[in-house]
Amino acid sequence: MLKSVLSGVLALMLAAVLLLGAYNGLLPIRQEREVAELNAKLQTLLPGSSSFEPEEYTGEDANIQAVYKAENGYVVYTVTDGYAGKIAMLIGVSSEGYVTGLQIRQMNETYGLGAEAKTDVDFLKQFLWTEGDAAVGENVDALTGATVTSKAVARSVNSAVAFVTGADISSGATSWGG
Amino acid sequence: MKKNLFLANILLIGVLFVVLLTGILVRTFAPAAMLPPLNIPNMVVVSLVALLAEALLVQDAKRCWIIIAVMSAVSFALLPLMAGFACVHTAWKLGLVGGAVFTLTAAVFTSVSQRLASGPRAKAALFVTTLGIYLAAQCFMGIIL
Repeated sequence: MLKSVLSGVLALMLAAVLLLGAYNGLLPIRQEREVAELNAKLQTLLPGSSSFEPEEYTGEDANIQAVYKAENGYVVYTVTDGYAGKIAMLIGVSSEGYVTGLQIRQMNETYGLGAEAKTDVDFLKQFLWTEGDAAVGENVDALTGATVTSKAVARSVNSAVAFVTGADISSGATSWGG
Repeated sequence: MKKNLFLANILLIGVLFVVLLTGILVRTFAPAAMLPPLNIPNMVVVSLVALLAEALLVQDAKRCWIIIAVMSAVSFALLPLMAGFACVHTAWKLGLVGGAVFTLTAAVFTSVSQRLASGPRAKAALFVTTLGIYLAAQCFMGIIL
């Protein structure tokens, strides 16, 4: 019995130590790659910009988590409530207030329904060149069976444009339901 | 193999280790990749892999439910914390939920697999049991979510 107890505890300790070692050992590489990947992504979302400066966001829109300023616009990092959790997005907005690119970074939506938002080009391209007026059911067609997810994406996009253009946060652009 | 009260938990630790190490490597070398969350359906999958491995190694494994519950709760709390996938605030919740999921899954798996055909088809019965429980867990989560 004692041998069994010891073997169980030892296995747990060994696994914990190895995982901690792997996490700490690879952390510098991970941080370096994350920065490089983010920079590459920011340049894709806001074409024509080569350098981005993180800017402190002091507004009241709870959807906006971070802002990256470039010479011809901004890339806004938003987190909104989807159907099955948070949806994190990066949205590129030009200085004139047009959406130049968007990408879903993290989501846990239903596989086959809301999860399609990440890769459905026809859905995502509806938001390009919008000016903060994206409304599901009006100028944006929702994903089939994923209205909540679609509205969350629309809210993110509208929040990002509202930040760049200085639109009123209390407008319908940022309220739940799009 | 000698019967070990901790075998199911040791195998669970092994499966969790492999899964979390894979997650660390993916997060390091492919930072844009979305990793699956450590939610209940995925905990059931991890539990089933460990239980299937135990059933293939040992017939009629001995069970001490208290040990299973406590050790699995500690495993689900500690290992994701060490791997950087949970903070202290969420680790204890993961532990509680994970412990409950593993214990329940072990109870169902043991009960079902012992009642299926024995003899030459005994190994196939284990895989059928695993698949059935996995599908049942998916349906259950689909209902309550």
